[in-house]
Amino acid sequence: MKYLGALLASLLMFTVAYSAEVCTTFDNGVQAFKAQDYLGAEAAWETCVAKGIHNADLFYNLGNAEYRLGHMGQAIWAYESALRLVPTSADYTANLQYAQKQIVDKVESNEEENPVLMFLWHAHHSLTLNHQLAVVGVIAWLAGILIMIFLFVQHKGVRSGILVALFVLGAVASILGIDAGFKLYSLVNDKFAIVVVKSVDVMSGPGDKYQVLHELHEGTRVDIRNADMNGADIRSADVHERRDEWVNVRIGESINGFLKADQIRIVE
Amino acid sequence: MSSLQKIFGIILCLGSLVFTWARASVEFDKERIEAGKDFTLIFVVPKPEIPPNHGVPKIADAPGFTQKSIDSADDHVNDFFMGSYQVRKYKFHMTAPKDPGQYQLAMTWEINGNVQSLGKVNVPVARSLDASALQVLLTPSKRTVYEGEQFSLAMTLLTYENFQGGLNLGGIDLGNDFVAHRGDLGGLKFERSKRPGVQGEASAKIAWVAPIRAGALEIPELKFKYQKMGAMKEVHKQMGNFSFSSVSQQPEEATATSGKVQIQALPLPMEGKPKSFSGLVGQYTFDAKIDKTSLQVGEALTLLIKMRGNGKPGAIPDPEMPDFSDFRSVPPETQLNKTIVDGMVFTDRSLKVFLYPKKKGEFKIAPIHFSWFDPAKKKYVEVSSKEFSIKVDKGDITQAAVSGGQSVTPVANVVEQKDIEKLGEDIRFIHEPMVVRDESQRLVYKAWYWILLVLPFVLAWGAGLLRTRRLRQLEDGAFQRRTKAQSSLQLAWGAAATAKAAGEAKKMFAEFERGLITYVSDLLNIDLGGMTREKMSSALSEVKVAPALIEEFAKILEVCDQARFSPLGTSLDEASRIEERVRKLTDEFGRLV
Repeated sequence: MKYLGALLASLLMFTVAYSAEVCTTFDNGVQAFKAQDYLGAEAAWETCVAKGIHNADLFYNLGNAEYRLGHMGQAIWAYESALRLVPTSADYTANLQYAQKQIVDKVESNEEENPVLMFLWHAHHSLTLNHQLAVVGVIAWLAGILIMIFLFVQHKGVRSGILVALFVLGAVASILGIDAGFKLYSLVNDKFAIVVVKSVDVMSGPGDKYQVLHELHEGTRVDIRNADMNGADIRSADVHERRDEWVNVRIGESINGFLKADQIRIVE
Repeated sequence: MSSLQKIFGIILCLGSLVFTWARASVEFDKERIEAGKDFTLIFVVPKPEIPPNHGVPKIADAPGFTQKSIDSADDHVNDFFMGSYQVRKYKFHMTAPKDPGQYQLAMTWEINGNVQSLGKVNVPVARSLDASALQVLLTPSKRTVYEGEQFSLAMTLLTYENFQGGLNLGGIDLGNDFVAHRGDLGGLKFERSKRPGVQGEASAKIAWVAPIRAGALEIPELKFKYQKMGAMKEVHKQMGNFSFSSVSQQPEEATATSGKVQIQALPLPMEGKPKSFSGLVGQYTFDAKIDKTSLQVGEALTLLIKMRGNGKPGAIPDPEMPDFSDFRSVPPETQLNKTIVDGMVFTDRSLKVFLYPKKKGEFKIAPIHFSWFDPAKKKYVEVSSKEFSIKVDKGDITQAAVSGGQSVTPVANVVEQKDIEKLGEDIRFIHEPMVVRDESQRLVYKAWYWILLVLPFVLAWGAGLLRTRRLRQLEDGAFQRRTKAQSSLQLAWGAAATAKAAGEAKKMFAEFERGLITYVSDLLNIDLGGMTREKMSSALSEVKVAPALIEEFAKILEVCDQARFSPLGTSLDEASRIEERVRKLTDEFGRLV
């Protein structure tokens, strides 16, 4: 009984600690969008984003408002941000692809999708990182309870059943844990940004005086190389306030240069 | 000239050309003769071959060379085929010409009063390793331009034999007097040069620039870092009594610097300057049009303005807009593109101005003027759009409140998902979740998550410990008896109380005796039952029970025996007194464990 009490107390703690901030101006944005007041919708949803609320549907809707306003860079940034949180959403993917067709630096892909890779990709993204970790937590509690039962039960059949269950739970938890680790590594290390101005010059160094290497256009995705950014670390939250700073970016294998921080928006 | 002298001359000529084998030869003190550097030409003549009546050999024709001095000395040569023989070495100390190339020196020798030609000596003069291995040439397409007129700047890079790569083209700074569109140097390729002495050559337009002010302007020198092979250095090493010397040559970083470029920027004439002139110089086109001339209140009208020209790269300011007070407007959409056509940068600028009529009626948008200075024709050009007439009808849609010309949000019919969503033809509709929570908090960074994750295993571990302890206790006989001791004693007390209630004093004593022996036996894990009093005392001594306690134990047992087997009988009062002593004794035994 006392074990059950501890379990319930732990789950209560989990629930209380996991309750997050709620976007209160979200519905205002929905009403404004329906009234074709896209500026109003954009303002309402950007307010939520500015408060630090990162929600997939919020980013998706914001992307729609930006798309209607013709801000393709901001729209693609918002769709990418939504997909970062829920990579398997068909709506997010469809709108992102639709918006990407309308930018200057389009990347045409004719590669056929490998069904095995697609299955693995969907399996990898079927749960968010938090959901995966929560499942691992539940498995841990189940395993703990089964171990305790195993210790105090003498019935051979029950004990064998518990051992099998523990093996299965361990295997599932290991797969989920390894996958969560990979997901976390990707989230932390794979930083990218979207060009949000009409056109931008990629410079060979962090300054206007350097050579122009390439010209990019609104909506183009660039990978970010943190360590090379003028010796400073990039935090997406404040990158737009440091207007004079330059970000070391890479596009594919061939393009490597610097962009001004206020010309791109980092996907959180 | 005698035949002997001619033969001798031929031998010397051959010797100067094939000096690896012949006995009369020409040598240099250095493997590499560099432009502008000192070297020594050594004319080696075997002593038996020296004519009896001779002067000093001379270098008669040495264009570009400076002959500093000549000396001679006798020496001997060890030859594999000829053995050791004496020679005279004439050493001409000279300075090589400044320009590298293949030179020929004509040598003469006065023999018997006649000046004999010894032939010509080939002297390869290489570029000095101290000299720059990279040369940067900047060439503007024009040196005199108007203020704001575009011209291009070409750069030519020439590399020499000691160029080692590592060229860094970053850091091109054209100063503050020019607006520039920089060229793409990513595809800059070096090709074999046809220029004498030059190995590689690459050319590219590095920028299209326009001066931002009039006057004598200067494009500062450009500096590029690169790697070059350094000069040969002789290195001496001492190892014990032996010394060695070797020549080493290491790559080193160098900087190539271009010359400054002088540009004369002419001021624009004041005469004929239009009011709408905003500083554009070049050839431009201008177009302005509206997408509709008739619309309803609530609909938007788009005024599209397109400008294109080859003046300042990337800079076309907005034309002066007419009065839009009859319309509400949102910030215009602008696009700016730069393209290179026929060696010039053309800048395209488009403006989309969205205008919402405030009320029904007929309105006019005044012509928009756009002007520039054409440097080819040396005159200003101004063009204007036509005047636009707009007819606005009352719309069916809800009209937002409009007052004082302030911009308000455009409002139209409420749109629902079914009106908009056509898969593949438009974006999909917005989502309306019940609650929008922040999903960015990651459990992995929460300490409580890890505590919760580990907690069940800690609990299981604790349960395991408890179980192990319990099993150990079950396997421990002494512990079992110790646990049982108190309950045995309680049984004895219960039986004694029953006997007391029944008035059976002897039975009480019997229960005290049995209970005491059983209790102490269980408590100390020794079997006292069946032992004599002496053996009991001895057994208790072995387990370190205090002698006073053993003595009291023995006395109580003695009293109980006497009471039980006394023919005179015993009273309940006496039994009660013994009960107190037994209780006290069991308490003291209880404190032993």
